[in-house]
Amino acid sequence: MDKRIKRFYVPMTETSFYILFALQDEMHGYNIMQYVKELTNGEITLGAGTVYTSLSKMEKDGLIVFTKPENKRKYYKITDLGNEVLELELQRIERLYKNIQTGGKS
Amino acid sequence: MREYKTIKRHFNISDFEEEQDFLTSSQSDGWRLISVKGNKYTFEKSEQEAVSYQIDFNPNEQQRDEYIQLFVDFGWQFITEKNGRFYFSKQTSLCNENESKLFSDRETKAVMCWKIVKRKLLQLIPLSALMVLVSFFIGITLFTFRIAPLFLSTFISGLLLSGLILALYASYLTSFIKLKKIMRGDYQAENHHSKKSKTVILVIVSLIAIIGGLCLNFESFVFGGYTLENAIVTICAILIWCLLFALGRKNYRFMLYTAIYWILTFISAIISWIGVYTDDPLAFNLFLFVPTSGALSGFGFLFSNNLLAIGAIILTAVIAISLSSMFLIKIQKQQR
Repeated sequence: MDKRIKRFYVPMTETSFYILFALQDEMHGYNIMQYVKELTNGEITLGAGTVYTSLSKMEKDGLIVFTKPENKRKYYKITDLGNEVLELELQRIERLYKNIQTGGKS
Repeated sequence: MREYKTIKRHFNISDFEEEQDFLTSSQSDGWRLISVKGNKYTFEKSEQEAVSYQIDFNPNEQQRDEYIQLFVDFGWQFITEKNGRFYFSKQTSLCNENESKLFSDRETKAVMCWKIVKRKLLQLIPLSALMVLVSFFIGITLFTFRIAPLFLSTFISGLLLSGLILALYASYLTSFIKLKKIMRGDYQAENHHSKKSKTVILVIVSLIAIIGGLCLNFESFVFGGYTLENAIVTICAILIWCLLFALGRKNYRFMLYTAIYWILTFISAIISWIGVYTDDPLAFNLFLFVPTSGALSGFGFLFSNNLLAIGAIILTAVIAISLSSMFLIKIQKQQR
């Protein structure tokens, strides 16, 4: 993996994480917002500008790919690189969680 | 019967927060934005509603329709676009506070601020080049037509250049500081800190105009014998003041200082006018007259008559006082 990508996305913002996580299925912008809202029980409502900016950036960096246009809506899906980044990030969060749970005792 | 009104307001792209507030408060007074052209905002009479207005700066959009569709999906109404600024609105009565903003996190908002910074830096390159050329041209002209010796031509063009560049960069610098604050997430519209730094810079530039002009004119001022050089210095000083009025007209503090300075100029000029008229030197007045009117004494070349020259200073002061008091009243009205 490109070092620049790793430096920029690990760790990543909560917004980026949820968007990347959502795009394991093919979705367009508004879908992503609804999905994340449901997933977090309404705790996180992504703004339109935030979703748009994140999608453009991740597409440019090759984490997600534009799949199809439908009624002027752009659908995206995660790429292999995106999956790799997501996996790294998941590991990091798991490690973080495990460490504070055990309190460094084990 | 539909009722419309048009308001002229200038908002720099880095003042997008203020622009949003302006549009939102217009709507709560019952005026709905329908179009933006140049500096003209056209409103239509409507219900007094809680509507959030938001601006997204996105100058290099290739897929405009898709871009707007995404915002429409999120419940935003697209109003218009001007120079890369996209205006959106949304009724806020039915949604929570988060949904009334385009950006839900700081990082993506910072991306937009970066786009603004890039745009502003691009503007700065041709403007700076233009200023260097103008000052250089003036310096060369002064020298080749033997209006001023080489050293003085260089000095005048240097003074003009530094004044112009300082004023230009000051306005850009304040907007960069502001954008940085927005990116950090601790900016509130009408922030006093950025206003303060702007005031300081405006005061410095005006001191350059006053003291620089005084130093250049000092010799002729004290010993008499005005030349074209003095007239040019005076014209430069007046030009810098015009620029200062243009840049600082919304700054209450600066306008207040300006008004005080010009009132002092006015008083001392009136006293010297009386002094010249009655042929009494009124020496006590020199302490006030030299620093306030020094930069303007080049009028002595344009009007060979002393009374007329001082009259011109008085007239300039009257214009400056009325301008600054007009702006002061305007600022107070807007604050109410």
